This record gives sequence, structure tokens and C-alpha cells, in this order.
Amino acid sequence: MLKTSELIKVFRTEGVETTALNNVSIDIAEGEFVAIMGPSGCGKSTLLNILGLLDNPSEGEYLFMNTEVSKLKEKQRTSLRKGNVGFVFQSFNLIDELTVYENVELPLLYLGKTASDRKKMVMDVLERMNIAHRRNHFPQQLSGGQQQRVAIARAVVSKPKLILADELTGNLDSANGEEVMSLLTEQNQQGTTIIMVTHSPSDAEKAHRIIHLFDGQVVTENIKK
Amino acid sequence: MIKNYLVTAYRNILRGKGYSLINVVGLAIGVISAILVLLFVTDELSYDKHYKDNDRVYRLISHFTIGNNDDLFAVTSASLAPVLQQEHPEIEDYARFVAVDNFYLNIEGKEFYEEDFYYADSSAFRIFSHKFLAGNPENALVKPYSVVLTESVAKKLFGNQNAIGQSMRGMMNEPFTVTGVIEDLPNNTHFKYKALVSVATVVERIGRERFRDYSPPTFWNVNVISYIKLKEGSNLSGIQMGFPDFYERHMSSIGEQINASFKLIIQPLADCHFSTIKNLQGDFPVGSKANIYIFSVIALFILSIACINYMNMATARAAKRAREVGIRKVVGSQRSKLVGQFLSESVLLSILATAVALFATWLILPGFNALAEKQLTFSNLLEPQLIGIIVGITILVGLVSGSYPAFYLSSFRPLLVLKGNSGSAKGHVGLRKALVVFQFAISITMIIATIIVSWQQHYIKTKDLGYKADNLVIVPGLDSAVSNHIDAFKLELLSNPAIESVAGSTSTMGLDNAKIVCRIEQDGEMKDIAINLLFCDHDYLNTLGLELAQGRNFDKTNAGDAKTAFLINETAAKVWGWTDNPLGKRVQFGLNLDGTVDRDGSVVGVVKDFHYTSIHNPVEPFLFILMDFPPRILNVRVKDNTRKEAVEFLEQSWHKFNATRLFNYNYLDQRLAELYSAEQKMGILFRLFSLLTIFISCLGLLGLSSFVTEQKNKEIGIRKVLGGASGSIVYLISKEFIGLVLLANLFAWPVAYWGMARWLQDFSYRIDFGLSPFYIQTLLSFVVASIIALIIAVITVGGLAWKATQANPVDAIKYE
Repeated sequence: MLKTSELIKVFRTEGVETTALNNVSIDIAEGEFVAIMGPSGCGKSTLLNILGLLDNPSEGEYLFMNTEVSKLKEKQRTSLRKGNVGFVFQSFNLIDELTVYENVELPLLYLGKTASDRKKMVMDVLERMNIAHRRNHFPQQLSGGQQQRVAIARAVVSKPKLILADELTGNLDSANGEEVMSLLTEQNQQGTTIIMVTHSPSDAEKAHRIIHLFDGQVVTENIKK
Repeated sequence: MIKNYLVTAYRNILRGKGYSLINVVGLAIGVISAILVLLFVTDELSYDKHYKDNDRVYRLISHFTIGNNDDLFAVTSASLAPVLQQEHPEIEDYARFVAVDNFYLNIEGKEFYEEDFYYADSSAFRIFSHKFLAGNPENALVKPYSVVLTESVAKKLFGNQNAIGQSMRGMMNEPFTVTGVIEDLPNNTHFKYKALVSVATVVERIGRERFRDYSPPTFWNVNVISYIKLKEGSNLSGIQMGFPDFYERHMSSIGEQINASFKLIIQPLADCHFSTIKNLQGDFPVGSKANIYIFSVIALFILSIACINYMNMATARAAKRAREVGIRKVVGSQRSKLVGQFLSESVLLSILATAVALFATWLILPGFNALAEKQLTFSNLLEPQLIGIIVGITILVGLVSGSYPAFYLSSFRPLLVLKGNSGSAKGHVGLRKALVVFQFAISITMIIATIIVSWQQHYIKTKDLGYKADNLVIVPGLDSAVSNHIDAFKLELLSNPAIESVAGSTSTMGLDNAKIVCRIEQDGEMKDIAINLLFCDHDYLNTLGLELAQGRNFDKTNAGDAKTAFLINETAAKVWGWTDNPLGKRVQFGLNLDGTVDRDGSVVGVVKDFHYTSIHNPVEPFLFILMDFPPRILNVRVKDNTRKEAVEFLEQSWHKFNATRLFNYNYLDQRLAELYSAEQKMGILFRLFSLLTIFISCLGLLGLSSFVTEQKNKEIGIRKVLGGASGSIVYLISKEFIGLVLLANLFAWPVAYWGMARWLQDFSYRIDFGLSPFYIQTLLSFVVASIIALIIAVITVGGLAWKATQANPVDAIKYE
């Protein structure tokens, strides 16, 4: 699905250089559920952003669906991301001015789907996320768990091959967290590749493989038996 | 996708109601200004275009050269147009008009004195097409004593009765008949008449032979407004090239005798309203192209400021949209789509602002019409061309104001903004500051211009005219029963203590005068020269409050004065080279073709200069000639606060002397004020537009400072907790904006100076303005304008900041 080779990411701000990723090489197969763990500042989110084509590495190679993407410009990355990658964030990142339905519909608008297709796909995923009854509500009117379900719905509505989740249960209580993790697992069982950054060992347990990062390097990989 | 944009835009507008309101109001004011100026300019440029074949109609203008002096008149001789047509087949038709002051009509015992009545050729309606409500344009002015009335005059004279066929009696009991009624002339007509009387009436009075006298002398007597109409496909070249020959055959014999020459100027009808022919005497009030440019520029300024407000507010509040931009990019939006989204929002806001502007225009149009002396209607906006322009302005305003925010907001990197870092605190602040400076530079320029314009107008209004116009009652069109007994009448009037003095004349000071070729002594010879003059009696100088600089007034005890005494003004003495000793210099009036003169005398007195015409015209040489015939006009000086009593007594005396004419009067100061009323109203409009400019600049400043105050809420709370005084906190927030306003002066001052110097140079009499020589008032007006702008900015920003300092600091910190 995706493969990185000696990925390096260096941030330069006002003369200070920070190496966030240092020769990271990973290979993730299609349909895999991978958790990335590590202490704060170890480079987990940086790695996730590069894998999700939100950022470019400073050095190294990145093959995404057999395409070398490490040097792509933003326009090209956006094009590739559209329809292929879904994101779920810790802080949900829903647009407050749009209803639940409109938030979930957004990726399909950018994919140029027709109105009837959009309606079918959105309602289908809202039903699956058990949030269809709140489709005309605004994010501010929902609980944290409900908002995260909407975020997941948005991430999966275009049937992407890859979902990237960054601490998706970080702002939820345990019950909601469980619920959200089970939705994610369900997606994976349907064939979607999932890469999840988490601090939670219990969330990480749901994954097939756990990659531990420390100081921007892969230190261990645990494969679930 | 568009629906998503519009829904997002709509909800964003509702979310930030206060800022949205500021944006909508600001943009609406800009669009209102644009619409009003558009209506004004369209109207100004549409003058006379409603006439059929208007592109083939021309006005004839007389250009005399007498000695070294040029005089241009908007009238010609009665002979010119018909003879031109005889010799030039490309002239399809012509029409002549002669003004009649105070046209007297008696309708079944009711008397009327009507203005704007003209004698006209029967071809008048072939030159100026009108919609006839009754009657036939082909024959309405053919017979003698035929009168065609405009609708409102017909209503005034005959009420709801059918005016056609109605009889009226003239001053000499002539039997006039109404033969036509036309629609009132629209406001956008340079030549506005209220009724036309057939020229056949004049023929009936003076005889066909005399009327059709086209001998050389007749070409030199100009008193007729003449228009020609060319045949389709023709041009003026034949007439223009052939005129020297025409002059040679018809006019040169007299020209040589009086040392004068004549040129014909043929002015297209389209150019009449904005006539740029300088010193054209007897012209109708002309429009001002300068006003069109000035108001167009002001509207552009206001629109620019409104757009800048939007840009500044949108970029300042970028952080509130940053997250949305990041999310949209993450889920697949390209930058171009985001640009499209934000431009849709600004266009939507612009459409909303235009809707508000159209409604507001409908409300304020009557008031605007009163100020601009127009008859604009809201339905004018429904013309396809104007609809297109308004739609264009709406979209352009939306695109321009939204352009910078769209590109700025769409440039946010998703990674940064989703972490909560929009960069708006640092990036693009420089551009925002520049926009504030630009806004206030425009406002300060407008304030300076308003001060200078008001100052100049006040100067014009209060300038010493050289005579006393107040408390002067003018009685025009004296009945012969009065004028033939003028001395007795004057005595009768002076018996009333309310009346100070009475004098007769042939024209009204400040409003009209004759200009006739006379002969003056220069360098040992007598030279012909056209001179402004009026006839008056011995009491004229005293009654008008004119002062002598040298010599004496006309002397009642000196019978010789009637034939030999002349008075001149100081300018005449200067221009004619008589500054050393003007008294006794020879003057001749009434030059006859046989070489004789009616009066041959000398200067007995020099009157201090006075404005015998509008203050916009320079003072030229002027001649007073003593009347030895009954006056046409009576000038009555009344005591302060006795106008009503004096006029009543005047009227009683009028009837006592068995005058049959209707007693008619007016106040000179009011009539003079009317001369400048159009200008005064333009000045008010200008001040209003300036106020609008300043208002929306403040609106922008309010929005920005409100946002900054909101941003600094936490800082304000912390400073207060740590003991900061409110004043120092207000200063902290305000100083940046105040600094920008002060910087704006650097740009405003040179622009304002250049603009005002340019505008003032068109005035013959103007305020002391300039740097070389230096006038302190110039600097003062600029400083005052800057102080006003600063005060406005301080109040706007400081007020908000002060309000923020009064809030409970705990609230600010708690929610952080």
C-alpha cells in the first residue's frame, strides 16, 4: 500500500533545526491496521502527516500506491489525497458552519459526485455511524463522541483506501472511545488500511501492528499474533 | 458546490453579525454613491438626446472682433439662419427663438406675467421634436398670435379645461390663441421654454418687408437664438469653408465701417449643455464637466474605501476561517476552489449591499434631486444599460473586495492551521496597515477639499459686490402710466418712510446688461469697442450703493449731462489706459452708419469696481449712460425690516398711478442668490459625499479596532490585574491606528493641494490659497483637516478600547 525508505523530516525555524523524523523506513500492506506509538514529540504526527500527503519529507522516498510522492507539490498531493485518504483528528475538525450532513458530504463535493450519488453515499455512511438522526444538526449541538463519529463518517464516505487517525479517542471518554474504535475496526475489516497514532495501549491493541517511535526513529515493531 | 459556498457564506454572515453589518453598510454606502453618481452623470450626458435627429442640430454663435477685443454671443441676427439656408442646400431647416421678458397675458380678466416664453419660427418643432398632447406641430405656429403651451403652463392658465382654442389678450390687447399643448420639457434640455409664440406675430406687427430685410446692417444686430438642422449625411464643412465668402458678401461692408469683423461658430446640440466656449454671453446655464469628474472620483473613492474595509476585516478575522480552510484542504479542496468559495462570499455580500443600496437610493432620491436640481427617478435605473452597469459594479465590488482575502485565506497550510496557527497575527499585517493608511489618506483629502470648497463658496457668497444688494426691490416691466410720470412716482414712493431711495434703469444690476459698440478716446484717436453698459437716472448710484472713486455723479442741475456725461468703472480706466486722468476722456455712444453718433461726451466720474454680472466672470470695463427716456426697471431701496410694508406701499402707488399692468416685483438679493444656488447645492452634495467617505473610513477603523480589542482581551485582563491603568491600556491599543492616521497625512496633503489648486484656478475671484506666495490659511486648513481626522480616529478606536478596559478582567482570563 505504502512504503517509506529512509524518511527524514527536518523543521527549520529562526535558525533552529529540529529533526522530527530520522531515517524512518516502514512498509504497510493494504488492509493492514497499524498503530504508531511513542512519547510526545517523537515524530508520530509528523510521520502521519507525511503518510497522509499533508507534508513532504526533507529527504527519503515515499511510495504511495506505487507512486513516488515525496517531491510532489501541494496541488498534486491534494489531487492524490482526494478520494484515497481519509483523516480523523483528535479535535474532530468539523466545520462549525455546516450541518452533520454537509460536513460528511464535503469530500464528495470535491470529488465531483452528482447530487443523487452524494445523497445516497452520505445517508449510507450516516446510518452506519448511527448518526443519521442528527444529520441536520450543527457540530456544536453534538457530544464529543457524536462529533467524532461524524468525523469518521466524513473520512470514510468517499471509500478511501487509507484512513489516518491522529489520537482519535484523545478527547473522548472511555465509552465513546470504545465505540469509535469499534467503528474504525469495522472499517478495517471491510478492507480499509488504517494507520492510527495513539497514546492509548488499549486502542493500540486493536491494531495488527504497533510501530514504536522514539526521537524520530522506529525503535520497535510489534506484530499482533 | 455553489450551494455549499452560499450556505457557508450565509451562515458566516449570520455568525459574525456585527462585522457583517459593518461590511454590508460600508459596501452599501459605496454602492449608493456609485448609483447616485451614475444617475447624475447619465442625466448630464443625456442632455438634448431625447430630440429626434439631435445629431444633426446645431446652434449658431456670433463671434465679434471689435478692435482687439473678442465678444462671443449665444445669439445671432435674425437674418443669418435664413440666408445661410438659402445659400447652403445641406441645411434642411432652421428655427429662431427670441426671449420675451414677462410675457403679459390676460385671460378673462385674470392677468399673468409669464417667464420663459419665446417667439419661434413655425419650423421650431422640426428642430426640437415634442410630444403634442393637443394640436398639430405642422401648423401650430404658422398663424400670427398662435401660442403653444407646455402642459404645466396650460394647467396654470386654464386649469382642467381644454386649452386648445382658448383666447388670451396680450399687452396691446392682441388676440392670442392656444394652438397646441406639448409635454413639459424634460429637465435634461439645455433650452427650456414654457411656451412658444409664433414669429408670424412679429411679422404681423412690423410688416413682412421689414421682417425679411436681409441687408448688411441687419446681420450685425444680434438678439435671436438660432439653430440649424443639416440634411442626413451632410456635414458642416461647406458652411464653415464658405463663411468667409458669406461674410464678404453680406457683412463686410458694415464691418469695415465699424472696424469690426464677424466669425460664425456652429456648435453641435450635444455640446450646448457643457458649452466650453469661454465668455459666451447670453448663454443658458451650462453644466459642468468638472462636476462629473469630481463626483465620479468621489464615488470611486467611497467604493474603494468600502472594498478596503472588507479586505481588512476579512484578513484580520482570518484566524476564524483558518481551521475551515485547513479542513477543506485536507478533505480534498484545491486552492482554486477555496478562492472561488471566498469570492462567492464577497460577491454575495456585495449583492446584499446592492439590494440595501437600491432601497436606500429609492428613499433618498427626492432629497438628492432637490440638492442636485435634477428630476431623477428610480425608474431611470431600469434602463438596460444602467442595469448592466449596476450588475457590473456589484460583481466588481464583490470580486475586488474579496480578491485579497480570498488569496490570503486560501494560502493557509492545512498542517499549520489545524494546529491553531493561522499566521494572521504576523503575516499581511503590513498590507492591512497600508490599506488603513490609504483609506485615511482619502478621507483626509476629502476633509481638506471640503474645507477649501466651503471656504471658496463662503467667499463667493459674501464677497463685496461693490454695491448693496440687500433691501433692494426691483420692479421690472414698468407700466407706461408709471414710467411716463417717473419723477412724480418717485416722489410718491419717497413720501413713505420705509423707502430710502428710488432709481430707474434699463437693466438689473448683477443679472443683465447690454453690450454695445461705442467709441472711446485712445492714443489720440477714437476707437470702436464693445462695452458693457446700462442706462440709468441720476439716483442710480446712490440707490445701488455704488461708490465714486473719482469725479462726480450725473448732475440733475446740468442739462448737458443727458447728452455728454458718462460714468465708467475703475477697470475701464485701467484697461483703456486712462489711469492717470480718466476724467474728461472722450466717449461716443450710438454709432450710426452715416457716421453720426447719438451721444458725444466725456467721462465725468469713475465708479469703484463692482460685479455687474456673476462673480464667476471677471470685471470688465463698464459704462453708465444717463437716461433721457422713461426707465424700464425701477430700483427701490427700502429700510431694514420694512420690506413687506414697502412693497405694499409700492403696489398701492402703482395702482394709484392707474397702471394697468400687473404689479410685479422681486428682491435683488434673492435673485442674486439664485445665481449661485446651483453651486451652493453642489457644495452641499460635496460635503455630504465627504461625510460619507469619512463615515465609512471610521466604520472600517471601528471594525478593525473592535477585532484587535477582541484579540487583546486576555492581554487587557492581565494588564489590569497587574495594575495597569485604563488610560495606558487605551493608549496601547490605539497607538498603532493613530500612527497610521498620522502617516496618511503624508499622502493626503500633496494630493489635496494639487487638486484644490487646480480647481481654484478656474475662478476669477478666489480665496487666498497657495504656497507661493505662501498663505497661512492654506496651511491652517490642512492642519485643521488632519486634526479632525485624528479626533475622529481617536474617538472611534479609543472609545472601543476604553470600553474594553471597563470589562471585568477576570472574565477575560477565565475563558482563556
